[in-house]
Amino acid sequence: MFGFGKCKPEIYTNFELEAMPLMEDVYRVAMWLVRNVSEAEDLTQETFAQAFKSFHRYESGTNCKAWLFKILYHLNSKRVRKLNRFQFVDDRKEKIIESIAYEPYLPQHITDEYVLESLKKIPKQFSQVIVLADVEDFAYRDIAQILRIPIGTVMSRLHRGRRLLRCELAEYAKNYGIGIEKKAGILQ
Amino acid sequence: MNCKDFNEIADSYLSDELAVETNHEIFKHLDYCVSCRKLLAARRRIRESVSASMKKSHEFAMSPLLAARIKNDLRNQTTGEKKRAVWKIAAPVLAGLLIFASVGFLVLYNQNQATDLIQSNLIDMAHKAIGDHRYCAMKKIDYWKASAKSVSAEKPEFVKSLEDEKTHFISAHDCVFDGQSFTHYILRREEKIVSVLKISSEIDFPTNSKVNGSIVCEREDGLQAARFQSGQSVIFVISDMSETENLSIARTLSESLKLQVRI
Repeated sequence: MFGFGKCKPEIYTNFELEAMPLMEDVYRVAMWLVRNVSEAEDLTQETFAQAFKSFHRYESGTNCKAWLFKILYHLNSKRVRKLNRFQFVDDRKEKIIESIAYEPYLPQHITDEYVLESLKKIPKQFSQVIVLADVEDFAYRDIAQILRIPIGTVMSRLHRGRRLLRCELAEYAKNYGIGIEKKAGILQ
Repeated sequence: MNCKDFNEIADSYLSDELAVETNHEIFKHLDYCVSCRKLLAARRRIRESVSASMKKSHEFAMSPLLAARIKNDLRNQTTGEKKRAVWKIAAPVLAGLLIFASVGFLVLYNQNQATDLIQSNLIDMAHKAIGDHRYCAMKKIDYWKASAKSVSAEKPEFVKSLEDEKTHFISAHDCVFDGQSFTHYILRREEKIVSVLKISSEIDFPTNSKVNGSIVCEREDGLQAARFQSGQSVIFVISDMSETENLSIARTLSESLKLQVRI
């Protein structure tokens, strides 16, 4: 009758159907971003509160996950600015990989733990693109929108990030004496 | 497509971000290149491991309590917004009602104040009218009887309605008592003297029918005083008759004045 009585519960129902099932995904990436349980929980909660407030602007049937992640990254940027946490990009590894003339051998038996540890060692600007692409299955275009960067930058970061990850995995395998797949590496 | 080209685009192929034509070229290349097939398999494995490692890791798993807390917060937000929305409608309505009640109260208060003032004035006039009847009509009755013939022409129509076998008109004159001006009509009913005193008042009497024409009776020092309002005038009927008789004269006058509309 007045708009509120009818619409709000409807919005809540739609929100529950479309956004709520994505809570674990949002938390996972929030945790990846902040690496602190309490802060990740706050960020997730804030993301959902903000998303619920603006859910009337969300077009039903479009990519709800990408929409939620845009909010998550926006809130995280605000949080970082608020805490005055300047993030310095460590490009030493990037320079090393650029100077390597060949693709490192890939380890044959990699465990999830090795992968995760290797991923953590990669500079955040590359790892976050890998997480969004490989873990959360976002298309390049969605990643570009979430991170507010050009799609070309997404592709280049992903390419370099994956190379860094492969280097890390190879290094890890070498250090722990894990067998490597010799023919998998090729010259660049 | 050679192996170097494939190496560059292998990840985009796995992400399904390539054009259909490029995918066809990749298929062709993979058909005969074993090393690239292995490379692709290795990268797919890494990709799957990255996804699985994060999704399985306890470090990145959400606490069920958080999910419950968020759901609860959102439900509360919905309820809160509902309440706020109700208040958005109710607040102006309540404010309107409050203003309406305040204005109503002020109007009624002012009306009561005005009515009290009028009542106080009328009581004061009634005292003066009784005084005028006592000192003008009763004490000077012989004088008015003597001059009755000379004033008969001034006898107004509404007074004529009172005249019958028992009631006779004696005098009509203007007089002042205690600062109050009256048009004074003196009549005699049997042995009793009756004064009809008319005051043309400047007071704005309420014009509603309940007040206009209604008769109020008072008694003071053995005299009966009946008063009623007719237009902007107040009429007093004062005598030493019984209340019933005095009231009946007032009623006759009131009816007569209603018929005439104006005196």
